[in-house]
Amino acid sequence: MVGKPVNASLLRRWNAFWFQPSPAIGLAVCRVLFFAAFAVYYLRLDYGELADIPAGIWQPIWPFRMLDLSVPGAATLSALRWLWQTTMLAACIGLFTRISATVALLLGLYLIGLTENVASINHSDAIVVWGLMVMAVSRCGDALSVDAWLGQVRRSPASEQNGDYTWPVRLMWLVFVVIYFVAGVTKLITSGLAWVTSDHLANLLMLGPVVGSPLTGWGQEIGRHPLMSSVLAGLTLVLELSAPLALVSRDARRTVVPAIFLMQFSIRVLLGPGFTEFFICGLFWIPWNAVYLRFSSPRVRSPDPAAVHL
Amino acid sequence: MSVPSQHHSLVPNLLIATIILGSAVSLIRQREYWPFSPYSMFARLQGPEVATFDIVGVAAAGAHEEIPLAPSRRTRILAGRRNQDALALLVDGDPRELYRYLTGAARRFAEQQPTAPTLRRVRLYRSRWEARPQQSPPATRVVRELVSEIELPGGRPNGR
Repeated sequence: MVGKPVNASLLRRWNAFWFQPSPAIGLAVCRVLFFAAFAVYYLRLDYGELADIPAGIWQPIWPFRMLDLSVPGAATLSALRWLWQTTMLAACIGLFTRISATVALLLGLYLIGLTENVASINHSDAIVVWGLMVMAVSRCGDALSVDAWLGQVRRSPASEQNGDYTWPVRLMWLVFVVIYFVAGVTKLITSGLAWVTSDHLANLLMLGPVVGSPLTGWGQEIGRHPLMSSVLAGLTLVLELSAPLALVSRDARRTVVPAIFLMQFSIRVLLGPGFTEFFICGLFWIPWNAVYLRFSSPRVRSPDPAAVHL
Repeated sequence: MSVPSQHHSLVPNLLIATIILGSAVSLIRQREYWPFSPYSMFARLQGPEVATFDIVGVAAAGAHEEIPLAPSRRTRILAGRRNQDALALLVDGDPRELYRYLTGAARRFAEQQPTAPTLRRVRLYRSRWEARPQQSPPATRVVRELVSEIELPGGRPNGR
């Protein structure tokens, strides 16, 4: 009868991973940076542009098809966009955090979703939606916030360590890992090992400046050498498929996560696509609690360093 | 370590299950269920050829000079790869919508660059490029064909 001990052990490990008590500060830093970065990032887009798109390129995604949602006028889109920016800024400073983060989620679902109906899906945006969702349902406003300053949070975050501050960060790890793993498996399903052994990546690299805007012309030079391109393709695939290791092993996390960001940066340099949203969401991998302890005064340091080791 | 109560762990566990199951369905079916996706970018094998579209304007004063009207990737939703996908859909679709799109491109150009010469015509080209490792640069345009050309009434980009 080993079933029950095994189940109990699994449950213990599950809870230890997702609900390990940690201070509020780490999640709060993630909130501040996440909302500040995306409030600025989405400033560049004018959603009013969507009011004018031809019907022939409107390819509704399932929520818009199911709810029969259409594109409103430019003035409405512009108003919604500014409301979204405002709620993101409010969530950033932690003003009525739960409400502002929830409204930012709803408006983000609508506005980001709206762009996905146009011609083709932008695969960089989904991680933002998950980030907004995590912020809306978590206690991300318990520290570094106007709410905390006004005494609006339930308990004093300075003295509290709680699993509620751990799972939101790790949920973003899960989202990140799932995206790369799924991308790797899809490559195998679609093209098999030919994704590595054929001239696929060499062609992509040589044609990079035609379809994108890589930062350098190095990709074209690498593309001239099929063997070098295949080695890069093999490394990419291995890295994507090994992404889940970052969830189960601290050592793997220290290797796999920086390697993934290096790969992402290489794609920008050699091939063109920026995937800026992924770089911004990389902030969830930084152990902010440990960083905070490292630079804070001794009197606020936690007696339990393990608790802050995200 | 304290064990979270059922109430406290319900939301995170539901979200974890949603992310894993939603992604699994999208992966197995290889279909987009936004925000779930099989993340198929670059998954299909790329041959040595690729087709692209480009929109150019022709000023009234210099009929031979073509001015690129590519939307800025930094400021437009319909830009880059998405713009190429949109043009492919429009070329195969209703010609009136393509006309609207091309006049819109000219109008945006006039709004963004008020001091630029007034456009008289807009042309849409389709190009075929080949990867040729021995050449420099290795991406070579082998064909450029005119797909559509519209005249802007009175040389005004917002005319119909």
